Amino acid sequence: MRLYLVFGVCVAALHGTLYAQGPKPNPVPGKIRWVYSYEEGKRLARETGKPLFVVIRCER
Amino acid sequence: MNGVNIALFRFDYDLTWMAFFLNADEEIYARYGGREDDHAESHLNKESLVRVMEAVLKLHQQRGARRPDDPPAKPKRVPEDLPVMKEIVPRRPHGCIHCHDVKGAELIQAQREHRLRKEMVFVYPPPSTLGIELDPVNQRLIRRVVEKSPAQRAGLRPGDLVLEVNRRSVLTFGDVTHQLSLVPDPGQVRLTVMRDGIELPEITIELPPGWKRSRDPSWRETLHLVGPGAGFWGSKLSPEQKRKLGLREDALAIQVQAVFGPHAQQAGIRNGDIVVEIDGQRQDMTIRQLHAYLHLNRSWGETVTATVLRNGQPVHLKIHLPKVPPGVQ
Repeated sequence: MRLYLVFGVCVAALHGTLYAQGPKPNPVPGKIRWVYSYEEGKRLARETGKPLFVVIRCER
Repeated sequence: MNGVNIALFRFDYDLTWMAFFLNADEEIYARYGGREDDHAESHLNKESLVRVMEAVLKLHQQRGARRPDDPPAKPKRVPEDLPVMKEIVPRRPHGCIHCHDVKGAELIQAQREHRLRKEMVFVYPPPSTLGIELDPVNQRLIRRVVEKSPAQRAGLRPGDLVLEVNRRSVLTFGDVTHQLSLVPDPGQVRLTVMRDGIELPEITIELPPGWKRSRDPSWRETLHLVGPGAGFWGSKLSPEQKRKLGLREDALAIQVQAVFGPHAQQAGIRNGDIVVEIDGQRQDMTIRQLHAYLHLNRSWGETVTATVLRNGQPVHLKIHLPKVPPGVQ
């Protein structure tokens, strides 16, 4: 499964990339390489033809 | 939730965790998350996540034979677009918009436009509101059907596999609650189920007024926006502590630990008091359930009774609930 599950996108972190001011994401520890920008996740999904797994979580 | 497209990523914003499977064109394959009232992780587990991942990969590989899902998402909309959010964000550390802030902003806006109804807190009703319990792992499998429930009246049985809700295919508990969120109150919902390997004719469940109200919504962060609370906090006494006071095990007994509301202070509630009755309610409750009871059953400006034990003696009090909603907190 892990081969396919390449993209985990913490959408809660979008503020950090879309807006000049705002919360920065707390990185998720572990082996999975999470992408913290939704737009970047979409770009990668399009490029590789794989689906996205988007997680929205309360981290504060 | 800062910057999140809430026109696409719609879910029960009282939750603190939710996941979506979609493709690069933003077509949603499945929603993973949600909960029944009794446990925040009732349907979150590794086994079910692996199951839905496998199903999503199959769907993704079959693209072209597109999974019927919701109509295309509306134009992008972010929480920052909600008028009330401008008042909420400055009050949040780091300017972080919480999930419940999105729902809170919508409820406050409704309140200001005089269209707020208590039922608006019950979004994304869990399957238990139909009278069914979905299996935590195979989340399309009906594990239990409640006696005399709308689901039982419609003919659903334990072991049935839910394939579609209102003709939208479902893979998960989150998919089912999403489809249920779109059903009016009162209303009806159509289920396509498989029984013993055979797809049955569509089953229609008739849903009575108030069907979205779940049994114990006290976990919901936004409840305080639809009605007044008690103005104090405390903890439930143990069965042993109740026995010592001569109270039944199923009796209400909450020891007050903090009195934060001016209305509770004016009523004379003190730290250490043991609340044994509120608004005629004497059954066992947690403090969150006590607040939820008031939020959902009382309105701003009403008066309720309370009985507390102070030094072992009953003291009868009247609490004049706040006249105006809290607005932005």
